[in-house]
Amino acid sequence: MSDIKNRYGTDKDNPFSVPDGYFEQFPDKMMSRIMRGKKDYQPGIIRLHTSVLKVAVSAAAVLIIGIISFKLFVRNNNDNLTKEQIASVLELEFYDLDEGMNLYTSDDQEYDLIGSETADADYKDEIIQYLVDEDIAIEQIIKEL
Amino acid sequence: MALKKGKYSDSDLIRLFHDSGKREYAFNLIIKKYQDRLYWHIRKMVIVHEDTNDILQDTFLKAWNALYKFREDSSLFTWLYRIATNETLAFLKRKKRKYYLPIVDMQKQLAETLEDDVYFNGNEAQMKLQKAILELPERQRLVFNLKYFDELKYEEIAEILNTSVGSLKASYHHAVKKIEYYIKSD
Repeated sequence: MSDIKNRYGTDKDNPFSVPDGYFEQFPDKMMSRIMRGKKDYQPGIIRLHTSVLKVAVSAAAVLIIGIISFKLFVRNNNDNLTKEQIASVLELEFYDLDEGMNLYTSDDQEYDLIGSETADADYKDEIIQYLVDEDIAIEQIIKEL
Repeated sequence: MALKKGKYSDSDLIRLFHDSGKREYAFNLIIKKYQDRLYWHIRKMVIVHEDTNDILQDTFLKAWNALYKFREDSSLFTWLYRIATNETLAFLKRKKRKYYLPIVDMQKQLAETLEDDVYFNGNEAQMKLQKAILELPERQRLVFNLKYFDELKYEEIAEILNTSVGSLKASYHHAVKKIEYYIKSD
């Protein structure tokens, strides 16, 4: 031991050095760092707050992802339904339109034609009945026409 | 509290720290009082100034966060030394794990760092002594530094390292023998 001390001395012959002004500046730098990170005096509470914050952030992230996923899922389903509904509505409209077109074209014409024929027949029967009732001679009717 | 500037005892500083209006001021004084000793204690273990600076900052940060519950069962000085020692050993452990270094390679790397260190101004003999110290296992190195350079009492070292005086004496004895052997055989 004394051999080492005799040869190399003690800390008074410190072979290490530090950058200029290191120890003069260190306290201020250290206090700045402490003040920057200072949230609470008691570390237990800081740790508790940090852990609570972490759990809260995680829960919020999961919730947000869940809500977004759910919304996207619902929206996709709605999109599908809407497309189907649109398709069915379009088909129905086109069917109605076609049917309507038929009604207002050929069917109506047929209906009118049939209706006119029936009316004409009724009208002839009424004339015949009138002639019978009034006892008008056929020759006279022909003459009048 | 009638205190003269620069004459604060550890107890005075702790009392001042518990006064919420003077907490920052008290801690600033604690830093100024112990920064040199803690710096050199750490520096002799990790060699590099930048690493020492980081560990010293972490040491004071931990002290700031824990000082409110410090009960003065031990002295402020040994309490701070203990934090610095733990931070230093944790740093060395992380470094070994990070670079997958066995103890022997770690010691070799520290010795190489010492040779390239711009903040090492020692002569050849001092370089040899530092290299001999770096050959020691971490615990013996700690004990040797605290006893030889910092000239602490065994009781104080026992408090810092949380061990018995007997085992410390044995560690120091082994460390000295190894260093003397290294120097003579080189």
